[in-house]
Amino acid sequence: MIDILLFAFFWLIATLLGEWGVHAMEARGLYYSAATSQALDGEKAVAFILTMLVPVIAFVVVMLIYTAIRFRSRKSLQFRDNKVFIGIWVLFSIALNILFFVHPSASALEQMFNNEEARLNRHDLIVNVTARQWEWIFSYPQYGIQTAEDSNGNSTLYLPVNQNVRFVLRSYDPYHTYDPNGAVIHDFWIPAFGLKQDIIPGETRLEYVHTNKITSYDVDPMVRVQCAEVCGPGHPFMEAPVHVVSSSDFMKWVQAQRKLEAS
Amino acid sequence: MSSHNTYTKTSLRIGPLSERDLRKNRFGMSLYCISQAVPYFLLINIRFVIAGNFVPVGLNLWLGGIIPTVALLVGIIPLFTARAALQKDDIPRVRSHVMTAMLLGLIGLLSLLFPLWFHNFDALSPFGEIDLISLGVASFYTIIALIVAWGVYLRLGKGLIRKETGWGIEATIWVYAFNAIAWTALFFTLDLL
Amino acid sequence: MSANAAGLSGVDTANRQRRRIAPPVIRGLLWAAIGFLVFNTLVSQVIDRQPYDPFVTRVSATVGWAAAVIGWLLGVGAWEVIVRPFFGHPVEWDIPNDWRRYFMFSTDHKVVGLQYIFTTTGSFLLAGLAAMMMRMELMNAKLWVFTNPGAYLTTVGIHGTVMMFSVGTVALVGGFANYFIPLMMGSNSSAYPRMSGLSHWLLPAGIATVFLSPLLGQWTTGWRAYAPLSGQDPSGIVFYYLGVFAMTTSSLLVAINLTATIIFNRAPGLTWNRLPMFGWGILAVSLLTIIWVPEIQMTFIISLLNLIVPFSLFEQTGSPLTYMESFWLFGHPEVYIIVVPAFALWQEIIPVMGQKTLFARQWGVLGLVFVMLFSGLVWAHHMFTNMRNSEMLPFSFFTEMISIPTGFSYLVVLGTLWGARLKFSTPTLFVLMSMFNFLIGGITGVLLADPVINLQTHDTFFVLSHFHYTVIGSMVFTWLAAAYYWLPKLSGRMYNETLGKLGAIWVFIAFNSAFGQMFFVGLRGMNRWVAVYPQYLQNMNFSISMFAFLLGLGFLFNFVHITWMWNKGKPVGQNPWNGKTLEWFGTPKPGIATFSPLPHVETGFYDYSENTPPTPSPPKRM
Ligand code: HEM
Ligand SMILES: [Cu+2]
Ligand SMILES: [Cu+2]
Repeated sequence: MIDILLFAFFWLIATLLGEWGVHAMEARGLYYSAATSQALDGEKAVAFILTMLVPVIAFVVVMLIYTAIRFRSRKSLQFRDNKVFIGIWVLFSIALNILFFVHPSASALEQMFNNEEARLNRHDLIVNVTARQWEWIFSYPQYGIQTAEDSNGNSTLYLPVNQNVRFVLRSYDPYHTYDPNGAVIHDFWIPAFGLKQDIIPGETRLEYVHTNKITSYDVDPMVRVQCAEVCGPGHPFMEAPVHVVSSSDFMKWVQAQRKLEAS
Repeated sequence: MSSHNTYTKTSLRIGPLSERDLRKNRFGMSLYCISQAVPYFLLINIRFVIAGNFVPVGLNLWLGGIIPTVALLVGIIPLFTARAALQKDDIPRVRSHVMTAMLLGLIGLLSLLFPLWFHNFDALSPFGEIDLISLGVASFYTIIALIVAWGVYLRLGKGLIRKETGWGIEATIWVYAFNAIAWTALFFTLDLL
Repeated sequence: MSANAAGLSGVDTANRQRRRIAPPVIRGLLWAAIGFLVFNTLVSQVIDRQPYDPFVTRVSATVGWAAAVIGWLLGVGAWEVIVRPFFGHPVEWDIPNDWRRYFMFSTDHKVVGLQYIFTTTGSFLLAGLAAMMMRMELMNAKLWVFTNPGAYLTTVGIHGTVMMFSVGTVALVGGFANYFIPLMMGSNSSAYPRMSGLSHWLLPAGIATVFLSPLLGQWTTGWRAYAPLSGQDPSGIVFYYLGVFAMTTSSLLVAINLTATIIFNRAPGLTWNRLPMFGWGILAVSLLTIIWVPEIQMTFIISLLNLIVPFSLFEQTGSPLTYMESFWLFGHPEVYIIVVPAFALWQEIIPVMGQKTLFARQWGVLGLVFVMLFSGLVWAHHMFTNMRNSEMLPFSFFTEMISIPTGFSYLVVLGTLWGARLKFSTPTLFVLMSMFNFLIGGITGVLLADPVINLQTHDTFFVLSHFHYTVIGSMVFTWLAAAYYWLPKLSGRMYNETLGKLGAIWVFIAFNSAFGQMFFVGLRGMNRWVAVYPQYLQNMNFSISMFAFLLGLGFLFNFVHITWMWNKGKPVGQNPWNGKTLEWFGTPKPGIATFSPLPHVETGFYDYSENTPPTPSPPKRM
């Protein structure tokens, strides 16, 4: 009995410490940097799961340490069964998993699917993203921008803040279109945006985000496009800076790009 | 204990298998069949993913199709009759039946290999690719079956297989029949469905 | 009767002329070289001669490789033990009772087990060296160890491939199970000893093939070999496919052999109700292997043909996703092939170390079996970033649910620990650490099973760390636990307890410091397969690398300690841990039958209550 009480005490302490740790991490930002509502949803999901799991982790860890220290070279008590303990364990693990499936897995996915509903996305900013080995090419069909580049000729991605963005993702090489089998799989990832999508040759895929914060690669290196699926030796170099700016700054940039392309 | 563990000439006088060993061997053979059926499932699956139900018009249904199917399926029969003859210890008869099965297997093999070289449809169409791979897979397992039968044939000739030690014949039946049936299923889904 | 000659009985050298042959391994190498040269030349210079082709082409390398492997297998002994008798010739194969038996074809399950143990350990060290080179490169954000990113990626691929197919899949199954499963079943032999002898020799062939792949050129795909990238690199990937084929065939043969051993070679009285937990674990992984290994073999054969014929099955004009699906259909069961024997070993070691009746045994068995059954239903959680939305929920569901049967292993061990008389030995320590590590791996697995979280963490160091927690943290730690636990049986000697604990604590701290940080570097934006990365991640990577080196040294320390004690340790008695499973009651010496007569089992192996006799099943004469 004393063992059970002692164990419960340590378990409680460990749980409290763990919860405190999770909340400290949450306050700092579990994703370090979150510039879209999608990233915030992801962080919330992580925080929820961890908060719920801390008591479980604490239970196992405290049990491992407690038994290792406490139950040594005394007279052992033999038992092969404990219906109550097993029952609680099994029911609890089933309940916890169903909970996680319902929330956050299914609920957050629901949210994601809703964001992708066509009727909600009539006024999206459309960005066509082309991945080739090893370069990102961004074009803005609504603004007549073919290839968004900075003054050095490097691809760059500009987005207005508080805006739904629809990325149209394709993998092919616009410079070698005669080779239908030249393309490979890439993955469109902006770490600060909290999600990624593989780009499969021969398929067109969509990714939706809602930007919610003015930020840029210049202040936060997580605000960059990074190919996340290995695509050959040039894979590490397949990056592009991202700038999330106010809508007026975005329009200024659009004008500048147009001028650049006209010249 | 001598300093060497050695297999000697006498060791080949394999005693009759115990009932348990017989079951063990059969079990091993069924594991072989279960595991080797998986590649066929994969081939069929990939065929439907990549080519749907498409079958090219130029496909020759006889070569690499009906002929090997019939040859391989019929080839199972003489193996069973060979086993029956072995029960009577009629070794010459066993040999001739095993030989018949081998000849049928050979016909099957040749008619699988022929369209692998000369096929009158586009090999680089999704169906063509899967069809050729399937022919190759079937040829491979047919060769295995033939080798197994050949070894048994030679051992029969040396008088090493007798009524009490007939496992070799049964093993041949397993391998041979597996190949015949798996190929038939593949042919059926590939070319006829 | 000699255990060695199982199935082919008779020990009689007196009136036989001994034939002299070159040492089998040398002969195997020779025949392999000849096979490769002849067939490679035949294909590239005669049959399939193309202008401007090099001497070794993709096609000729494939055919030459097949000839080389066959030559190697025949050379190490398959010629005498399998091929000639198959065609009716007498078997003439001398197995000397000394070190030489480890370098030739052997049908003794103990020799085969030790061969596997040596080969896996060797490949672990080599692939570990590759990991050290990778970590060295990643100390700096710029390229500095490798001359180009492709060389780094080739190293990643070799590391991953060898670790998965020659360490993860093999260490506990081909190695310890080959040695101990027949002993635990109370049998003197495995079910199909000749097949088992063959299986080991495929493994070094496969390892060598993968390590030699750079000779054919770089390959940048990593161990998953995703198409269409696999078709674009120089030809190194050909040797990846072929090497994996050899290694997986080896595992397949082991699985068939051990399944039949467990079913047919149990000693009298060893009923299913009494089957040791390790037996259940091996049975479960063997079934997984028998189903899924042929699947990946066919997939790789198709990919190889796709490459060398060439076809365009998995390119843009074909279906790239089909390759991915076929790969993960196997790829996920593979991770359970790796970890299920570890779960089983926890449940084997802890009751002995605690001298305590195994808690809730039937739940443990249920857990192992259900993990096995579920493992075919979760594979697509590796593909959340490229599947249709509607497919996400079912795969997410099954992935989360698989943690329930997994948890049963914890239920059993924790229940057994409670109130035990725990001997705080090195194996105990390693098992407890392994359970901690798998807990971390499992918790992060639950996070990864959530699609929304997965879309952020996939393909980053978060995932890398997650699976290293399961493979190193739990499987390799358990592998070391098993090595210390069974060392007295393997060598008749005991390790040094202080050094053993030191080794355990060393690798535990180094491992958790290195891989624990990788979760965070992944969340901060470090993706996989990059030799060059943004500068802001360098500090963290530098620190990870330092602990990774410490980890490498820690493994080395443990291996040296074990090897040393294997030869120089204090001799111990039959059963130093007071275990009850049958292996503790025989004297396993390679080349000699373990049990004569066979033991007769009368009770289960996990009952330590007062009223049962101290040893439940003293081998009784029948
Ligand atoms: C000895 C300590 C080890 C260290 C320091 C280590 C480190 C690494 C590193 C740095 C990578 C490459 C990351 C990247 O750039 O994508 C990697 C990949 C990998 N490792 Fe390890 N590893 C170790 C042991 C193991 C073990 C024991 C296994 C399995 C049994 C394993 C399996 C893998 C696999 C499957 C990959 C993925 C390769 C790929 O992306 O194709 N590693 N490891
Ligand atoms: Cu890319
Ligand atoms: Cu990439």
